[in-house]
Amino acid sequence: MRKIITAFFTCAILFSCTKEIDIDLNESNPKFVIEGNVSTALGASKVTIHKTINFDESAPYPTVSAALVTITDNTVNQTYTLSEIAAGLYYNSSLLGAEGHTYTITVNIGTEIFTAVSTMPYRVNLDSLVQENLAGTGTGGGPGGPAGTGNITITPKYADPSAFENYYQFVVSRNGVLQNDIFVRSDIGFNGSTSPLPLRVDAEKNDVVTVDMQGIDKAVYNYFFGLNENINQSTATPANPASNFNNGALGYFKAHTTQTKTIIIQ
Amino acid sequence: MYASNNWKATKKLNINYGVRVSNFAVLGGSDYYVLDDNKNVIDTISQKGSVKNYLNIEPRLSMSFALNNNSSIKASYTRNTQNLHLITNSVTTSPTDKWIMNTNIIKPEIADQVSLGYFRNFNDNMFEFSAEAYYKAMQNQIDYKDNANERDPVIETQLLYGKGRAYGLELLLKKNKGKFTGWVGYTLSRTEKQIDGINQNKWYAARQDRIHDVSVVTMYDVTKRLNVSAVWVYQTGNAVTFPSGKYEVAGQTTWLYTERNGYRMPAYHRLDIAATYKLKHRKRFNSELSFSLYNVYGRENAYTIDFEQSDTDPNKTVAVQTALFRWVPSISWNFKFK
Repeated sequence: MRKIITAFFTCAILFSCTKEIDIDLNESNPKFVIEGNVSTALGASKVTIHKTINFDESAPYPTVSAALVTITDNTVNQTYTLSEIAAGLYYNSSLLGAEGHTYTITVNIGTEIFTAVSTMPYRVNLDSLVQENLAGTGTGGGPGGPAGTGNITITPKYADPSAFENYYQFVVSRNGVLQNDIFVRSDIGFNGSTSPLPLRVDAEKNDVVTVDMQGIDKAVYNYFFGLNENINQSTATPANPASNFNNGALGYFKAHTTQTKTIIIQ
Repeated sequence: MYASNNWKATKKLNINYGVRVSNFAVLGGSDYYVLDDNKNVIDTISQKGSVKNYLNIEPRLSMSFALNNNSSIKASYTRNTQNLHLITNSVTTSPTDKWIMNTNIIKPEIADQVSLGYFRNFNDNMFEFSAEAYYKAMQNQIDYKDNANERDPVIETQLLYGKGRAYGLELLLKKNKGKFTGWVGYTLSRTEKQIDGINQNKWYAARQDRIHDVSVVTMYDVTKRLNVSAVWVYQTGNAVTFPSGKYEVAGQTTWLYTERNGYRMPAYHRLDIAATYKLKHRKRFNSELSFSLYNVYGRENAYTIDFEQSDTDPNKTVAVQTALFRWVPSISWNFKFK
């Protein structure tokens, strides 16, 4: 019988080295980024347009002026023309969204035309906001993705109607400052139930936190879900989130209900 | 089940053919899922017993034709099925692989490969040369959909299926005799996938698509006891997804992507050297001592690449590479007991 024994000594120089490197990224053709909102709140229906820039360029992002922007309420067949009230910002004061209506946006930039369709769902009432200090209990997860990374947990309480597939977005402000966290939820897995997922936000005692609960459609939900994965770099396969605009425009067209509630952090 | 036959058709032509029948049963016990067209889970199967059966027939045929005493031509066709699947992400921040078995949804991968090769020995078999070209058509290829979540408990909801192809040319020159032995190998190849819903339905490089692969292995017997060796390898970097630009949406900066796996990690290469010394024979054992140095010239091979805000200008973005090991010296003492 033969035995083989190996005495092995290795001295791995176990430090990792990081350095900035040059990557020859393709110059990308600038693409249009359109953010369109139709809201039930006065003055909140507006459209912004800007362009993408190369990877090594610096913000600010170039705005797109002189576009022709119209939004049609397909349900009552009425068209609103939006005018440019600031560079790249388009607005019409009489455009007010209605629940259950479907809207089409048409954006004309030079010779290119981009359109998108979005349906505003019926409003689901936001009953209350409940603060729970559950800091450090994971990232929430479940349908709707990560629930943020903050130290305070705020649970919006509402009764999800079981008759529809519902999609929600929660926009959080802290002391009047809009927070960047993207919170989207679908009712897949808890349709009709009253126990939605909490939102984790960064806040301190006596902060005034406002939560805007928006009812959105599925395409918008998918867009923001994908966007959140990209921003958090938590996806296995980064790609532009699927926009509801055609012809290769980036961004989204969102017809949404809106209802805000405020809570003072204890 | 496997059956094969060797048929010496003529003095110069040898034909080998066979067939393998493989059956893969997906057994119950754990949960399997039923998905709708939008990849939502609509039912869970948790029965005992067989959930799904995959029966595959894998024929194979190879021919070799002796041109003369020193050279021959070989041709072959093989079908292979694979029940264990590798799925890889396309990011550079945390490259991770996942192995998954067939399920009721995930089918065996099937590959049909044809190859043609030329083999030649010369200088009294001191040298050996071969050149082989192949083409492989693959079915039931798997990849993550765009913006996939690899931690999803129902991984099938994150996957898409399509076809693949691989083709290439392998060259090998080997020296078998003398004090100085070794080989030089070079492979030029492509491995690509086409899956509806990924990369605008166009063909794209698989992560492990390695266009150039070079290896040089040399060994030299300095004395009867002392042997030194050196190995150099070079590989095209993995195909990965990098952003091609950036934009702002919902108040946040995000990346603009133009294609799946359209970029490359930096090429991987390194040189390793070793020296082995045979110690005196003992009554009960022989032993040898070897010294080696991994990555002699300290190449910083990229493990991850992250895109970050520049320290000097927060509006700018820079790529930062992390490499794991540079030099790794080692000593080993091997014993063979009689």
